[in-house]
Amino acid sequence: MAHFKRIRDPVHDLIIFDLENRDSEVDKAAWQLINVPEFQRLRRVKQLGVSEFTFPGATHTRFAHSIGVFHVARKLMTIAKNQCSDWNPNKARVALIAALLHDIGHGPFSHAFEIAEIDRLKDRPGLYKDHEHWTAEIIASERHGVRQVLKEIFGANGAIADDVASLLTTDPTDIYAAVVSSSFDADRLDYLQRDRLMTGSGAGAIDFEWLLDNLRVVQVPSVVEEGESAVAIDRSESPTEKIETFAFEEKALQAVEAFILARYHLYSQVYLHHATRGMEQMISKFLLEFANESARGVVANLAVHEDHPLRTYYAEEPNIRRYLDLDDAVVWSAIEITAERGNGSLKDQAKRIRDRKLMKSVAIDIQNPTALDKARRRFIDTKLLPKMENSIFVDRAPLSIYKDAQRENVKPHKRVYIRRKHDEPVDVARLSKPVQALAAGEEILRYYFLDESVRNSVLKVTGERDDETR
Amino acid sequence: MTKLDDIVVGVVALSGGELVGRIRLQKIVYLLEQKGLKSDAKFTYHHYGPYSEAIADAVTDAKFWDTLEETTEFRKLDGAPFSIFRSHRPMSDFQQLGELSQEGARNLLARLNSESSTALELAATIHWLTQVEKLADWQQELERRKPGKANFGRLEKAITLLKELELPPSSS
Repeated sequence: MAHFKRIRDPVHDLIIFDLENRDSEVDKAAWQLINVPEFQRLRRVKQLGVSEFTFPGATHTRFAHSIGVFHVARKLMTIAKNQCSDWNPNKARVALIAALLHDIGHGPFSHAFEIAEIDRLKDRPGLYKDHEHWTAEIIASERHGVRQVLKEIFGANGAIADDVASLLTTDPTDIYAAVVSSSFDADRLDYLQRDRLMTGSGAGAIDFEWLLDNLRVVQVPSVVEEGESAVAIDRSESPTEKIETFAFEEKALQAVEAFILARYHLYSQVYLHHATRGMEQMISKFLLEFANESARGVVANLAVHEDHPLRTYYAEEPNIRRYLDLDDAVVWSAIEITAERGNGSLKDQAKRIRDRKLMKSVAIDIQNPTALDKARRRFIDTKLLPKMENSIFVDRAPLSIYKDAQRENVKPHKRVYIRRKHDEPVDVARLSKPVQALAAGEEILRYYFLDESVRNSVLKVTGERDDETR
Repeated sequence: MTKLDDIVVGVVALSGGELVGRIRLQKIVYLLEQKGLKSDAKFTYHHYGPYSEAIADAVTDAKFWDTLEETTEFRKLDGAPFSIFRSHRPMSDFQQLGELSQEGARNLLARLNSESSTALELAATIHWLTQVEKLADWQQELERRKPGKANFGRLEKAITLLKELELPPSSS
């Protein structure tokens, strides 16, 4: 007798898990995985961190997103299966479970938390772990719920957990992995729609069904040299090196452009919004100071109890047991208690975060600077920052939609390919002027000021009157 | 202009005023660092091997202060994007590149620029795996992180480059 579980979702509507069909063991595993404590923790980690300070509706969680990614991954996998002659169900199974679990290692306020961790551990090589490392560790752990579930359903002592962890930490080379990480992966397809819906932003719409209908499995070179003269090298040295990934039929070119532009609009208008980024800076600073104080152990001058999970995490070297105790609620409780009963700088910071007293910023146009941008930057960098590094925060971030976050080059598996009739797949940049324009990349540079008067001195650095400042 | 901004511009200027590719630029600075550049850039491991956020920022800043140009072009064959950096500052502006002499830096740059960006990436990665991560079986790890990339003679080219530069593991 059929036995289904159903989840209603604001983006995808009905998400169904088939728990009885013999071919649906992935659904059965997914349903059980959703219910392990490590996955339930994601209910308490917001997908967009502090974006709700800017977009009040953006309170959706990594829990809902992860289930959405699993749902989209199943759709992509069906498309891939219909186009592949030598289908490998084991690899498909690993990829679908990876899609569900890909965010399980995210900490509270993901970006702000990681920035504080990098700073806290900068002089202790090897201790920092980003969320991808935590994800792999949580999945593979013998002592935690994910592996136990996978062991019960698939046997082999849960060995599939190692395959899932490995898939999430290595570059994809086949179509199964491309479902989890590629230019058109399930993660991206969910968050673009979900974040747009929940923020209420009008920007960033994608033609989802049309894109899916025009999706094809192709093989592309895995090694791409930089530059025109390197084409000869590619052809002579790598005649057979290929990776499998997705491409689009040429008739979907405009929809593909809109898909890429959607990311650009969401990054520029939502993820990198100046108010959100300012709040992230404040939370990172709070976490770093809280961590440094916690490291003093029982004598730490903190308002929270010495058993508070945030304090115990920071009192030790990073470890999975303490890490899994962390979520947004834990950090908020530390902020609230510190705001009420703390003292000194930490109390001021906590009150400011709790009550949304945002820092104001000065933005520098780094792509097309005016003389004023240069004068302001010179003034801040040479006159202010050397003596005020604790009250001025520098925010630099790439807005590189068609380049990787490291601003080196777009990875082969993250390029968007168009399949042309009677030709090899080509990069969409070859055919699209809008994408070419985005390929150069942009960056943001903002300075945030705790002291409003210091900011005003920057705005008037070349003698502007009040009504002339921007 | 900071010291690192100046080094980035110097690398381009001493390469003949033009350098192709962001991966190339990053790996060249990394390998020069091992030869005594002393740029103060901190490196971490990313997709293409050792990478420095500070170098990426220095590129942005040098462009901001009008000492470096970057254009993005697309390969005619397949549309793959790549960067071309240009500096109009004369070589005589760089009697030193960090702690390297101009002549020493130019010789190193000539050698490094004769390699493909993938060979540079492999050489920098091998150095990183053996010297920073201190992995005994770096070949296996290289294949895991960069599947297929070390084929077709690229690994041999990277090892030869390290040997000529007298950098480990080949030198040890």
